[in-house]
Amino acid sequence: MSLRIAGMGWVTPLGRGVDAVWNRLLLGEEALAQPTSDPVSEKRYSAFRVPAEALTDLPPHPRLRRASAISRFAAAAGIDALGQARSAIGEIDAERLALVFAVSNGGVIYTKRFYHNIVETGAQSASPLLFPETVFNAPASHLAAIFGITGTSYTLVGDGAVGVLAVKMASDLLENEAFDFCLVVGAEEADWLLCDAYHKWRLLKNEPPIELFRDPPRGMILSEGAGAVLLARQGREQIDAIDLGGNFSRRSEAKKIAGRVLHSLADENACIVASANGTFVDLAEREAIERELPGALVYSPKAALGESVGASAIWQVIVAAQSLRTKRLPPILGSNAPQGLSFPESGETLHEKVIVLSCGLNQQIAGLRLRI
Amino acid sequence: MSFGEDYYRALHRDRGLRHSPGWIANYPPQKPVIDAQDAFEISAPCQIIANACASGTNAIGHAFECVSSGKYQRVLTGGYDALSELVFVGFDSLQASTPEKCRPFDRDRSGMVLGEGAAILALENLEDARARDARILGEIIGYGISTDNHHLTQPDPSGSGPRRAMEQALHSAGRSAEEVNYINAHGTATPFNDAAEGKAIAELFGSIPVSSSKSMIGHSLGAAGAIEAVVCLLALQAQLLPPNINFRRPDRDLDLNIVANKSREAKIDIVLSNSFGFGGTNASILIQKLAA
Repeated sequence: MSLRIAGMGWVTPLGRGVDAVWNRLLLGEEALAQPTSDPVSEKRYSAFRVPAEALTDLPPHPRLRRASAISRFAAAAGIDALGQARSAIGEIDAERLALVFAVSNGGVIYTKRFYHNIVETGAQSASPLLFPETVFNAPASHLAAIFGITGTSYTLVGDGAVGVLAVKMASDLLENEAFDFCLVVGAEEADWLLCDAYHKWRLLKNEPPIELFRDPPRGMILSEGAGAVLLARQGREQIDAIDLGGNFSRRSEAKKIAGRVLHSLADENACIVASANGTFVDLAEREAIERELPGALVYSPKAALGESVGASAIWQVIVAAQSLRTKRLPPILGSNAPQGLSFPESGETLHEKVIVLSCGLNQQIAGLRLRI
Repeated sequence: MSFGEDYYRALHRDRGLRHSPGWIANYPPQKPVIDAQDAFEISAPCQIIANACASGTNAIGHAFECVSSGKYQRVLTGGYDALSELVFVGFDSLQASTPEKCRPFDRDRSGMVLGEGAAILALENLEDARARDARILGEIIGYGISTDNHHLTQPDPSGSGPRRAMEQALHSAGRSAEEVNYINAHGTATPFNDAAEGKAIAELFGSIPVSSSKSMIGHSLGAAGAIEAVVCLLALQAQLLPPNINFRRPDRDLDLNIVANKSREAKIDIVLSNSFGFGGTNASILIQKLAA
């Protein structure tokens, strides 16, 4: 089956809109880190936030009035992806549209607020307005309501690789003739609580820059936003291979699985959009790349955009598609290529294929390959 | 969820937790599956569907489609959930839970009682299972999924969402409603769910025997669909309709044939299991007894 990208939407700390964000990446811009704090602790962290103006023109749908940030990011990205597709192919029948939503941490802000009320003042203060937004599939429910989807809607949870798993599920769904399109949306919201958790997990650094492929790794900065790809049987870029990879129990196993995924997707005409984010992931990917595709051009958007966990693999897919469309790759910020890796330099790239390698922080690795 | 609660309580208590406990690493919902895969040395990729209380049935349904499409020979599928303070208080805040007994489809039903647990089913291509002389417990023959955009937590009172899921399950199996012998209902005992589901069942299936296992074991949320699929398989094997206990008075607005309080012997060839969840997600699977 031919699995192609018919539309894309992108909500990031560098703004909203595929072309707008892409152009800023090509110019070598990085998101602005903002301090994040919480009354529960004096500890402060930095996170890359979606600018408020990115969401100012959302439709006045009743579902979005009280929705958490993650739902609004997802809605904006989904609306843009469908809008891009409509401008090329016309109206999209919601009855023939499936939805797959990918997420990792979910509606953390409302979940924390809901539970904080319980801890602080007891169960009687729990808000029935907040609780429904704590459910992982709340954003997917809002998206379905906004787009009029009454059929298939799945929410997948996982780590940074969950977006690839979502694309695979979309591929499976599109084998059913009942569907013409599947909208895949990955989204995440950043909160102090997540920063604190990842800091205690020794994966976070306090301030940018994120230094990619550095040994030893210095840590990542969390970010937020959403990415959406509308998949169809027709479109410009084709996803011609997906490898669901596997799980690792120990970090030392990550390089083996990443290598296996790369081996199955390897193509001499391909460059790699990696998930390197300044953590152990970088070393796993570096070893895998050196072994399986030595000399391949490698780019990761996470130095500029941060680690958006559940949204990150879809962001990588968008980067891969844009690099095929524009024949360019942005520069990797603040890092020199370590021996054995090649980073993009300014100018055109002539790759016919792009491999998306996604290694999550919590045990999942998967990948896919795009061609134009 | 409980790992996250422990972490947050400690953070709140200590105003700046210093050490890095296993709470964080164990919090993600995919962790139990990955741990189980590690324990059983299963290296296959996994997908974790989080469609609220329909997740278990969605997981079985998606696994069924993966196997029946020929993509996979065997899939382990199921659901799991554990009680937590956040969820308990959350359902209480919505006035969806009851301190009384759980009475699905009863006129005096007053809400759900939460439960917890897990169930895993091994799905395999029928020909391959027969070829290796496996003990086959039943055959999944149909799956339906629908989305009800009425409200984030309340079903459309018309029952249109559940009805579409059930119709789709029948359609995908190529079966008619008359061929189904029993429905294991979602049946949470909340006024809204049972009214919408009961309406959809009555319209589509007439006087088919219906019961909700949640009357006996509570609502185990993400695990419910998988646990209730096991109940359906056991019903097919034993040729017994599982009871809907705590049932006292029929709801005048629901024209249902409830398996009230005691199990009944019956000839059962095909059963349907329903699961519905927050977000308006609805899922139904159809299970068939295999001839000996």
